[in-house]
Amino acid sequence: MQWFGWLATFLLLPLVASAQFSLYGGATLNTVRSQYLVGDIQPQVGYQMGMSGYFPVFRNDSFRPGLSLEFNRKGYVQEIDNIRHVYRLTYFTAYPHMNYFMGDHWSAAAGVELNGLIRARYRQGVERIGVIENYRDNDVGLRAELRWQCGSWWGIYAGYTHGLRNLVKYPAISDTGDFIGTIRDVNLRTTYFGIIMTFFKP
Amino acid sequence: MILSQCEGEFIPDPTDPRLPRYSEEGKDAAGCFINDNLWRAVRGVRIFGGATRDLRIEFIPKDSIILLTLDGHQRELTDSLGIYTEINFVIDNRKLQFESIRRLHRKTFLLDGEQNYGQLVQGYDTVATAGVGQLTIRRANLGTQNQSSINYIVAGTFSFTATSDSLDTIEVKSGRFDYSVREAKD
Repeated sequence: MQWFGWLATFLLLPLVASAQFSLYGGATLNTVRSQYLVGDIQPQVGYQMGMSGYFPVFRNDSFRPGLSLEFNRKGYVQEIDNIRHVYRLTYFTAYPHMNYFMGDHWSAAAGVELNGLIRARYRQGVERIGVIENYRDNDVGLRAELRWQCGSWWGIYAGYTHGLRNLVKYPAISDTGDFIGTIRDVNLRTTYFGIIMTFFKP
Repeated sequence: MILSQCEGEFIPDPTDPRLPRYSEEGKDAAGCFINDNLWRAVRGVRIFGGATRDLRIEFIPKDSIILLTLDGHQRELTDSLGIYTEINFVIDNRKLQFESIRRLHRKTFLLDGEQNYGQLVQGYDTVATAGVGQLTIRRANLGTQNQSSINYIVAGTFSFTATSDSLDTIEVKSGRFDYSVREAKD
């Protein structure tokens, strides 16, 4: 524990003190891809909001690792026989990423998005089923984004997340009542854009 | 006794959300397609409290059969209820000599349409019988236990093709059920 205290004092605190912090938020357009899903899959609009930190750990100031923590409301619609099955999925997302700052205005980032499911709401046609437990749990995706800094404090951003895998398997049943097996390939794909506001610069 | 109807907890199947997700936790849910029409279990609730059972398993020694009955409704999702339909499985117990729910654990019954068969019942009418297919009981063992009763969790999957009175083929597919049931000694 003493080691951890020294590490925090002499390494992490200076790093945090020299970092740049931003708040951001915006709209998302989500859909899913899976060979198993029945019906017509339609995208759903959601939102995201969070906080990013950019840490100057390299000698070259153009490259800075960052960490974003955010709330994400995603979702999709599965339309079967003219009935809309609407999913609203709320995640807490951690997005460690590497940033590349290109001059005064542009920057780009890429990293891995880790989504932890907080809540899944579901509506079947006119029936409001409400919160469903253990529907689709945590998933992981690759994410890349582009930012444009308008002035010293404001900017806009846009990006894309490519869901790789649902981390939790679930059983699928065939027409004959046999197990198809456990599958986990229901992947979310998200396109997003929004506004970013820097609130702390060293 | 006056009955009113409401549904148990419904967790959609991640691939086809019209059906309940397959589980083995005693969720009191069942679903399948009957000729591509949705059939889903609906729990009966007595007006003065207490719920009727949507799954009944009877061991009938005299006839040496096991009768497994699922209660539910054929329905459109835009309907409130739809047509009340029972799904029955009749299993010949002469060789098996099963006498308790626990013996059904992890057993697959091939429905040959003669000794073992599936059938559909609406009210007092058997609308399709001699169902050929398969019933798999994937879990049938103890759930919770208290001083007054022993609860079992019974879950499984099924499909069969039956013949109606007018010799039409009725296909029951993608069947699944998951119930918590109480043993009755009578």
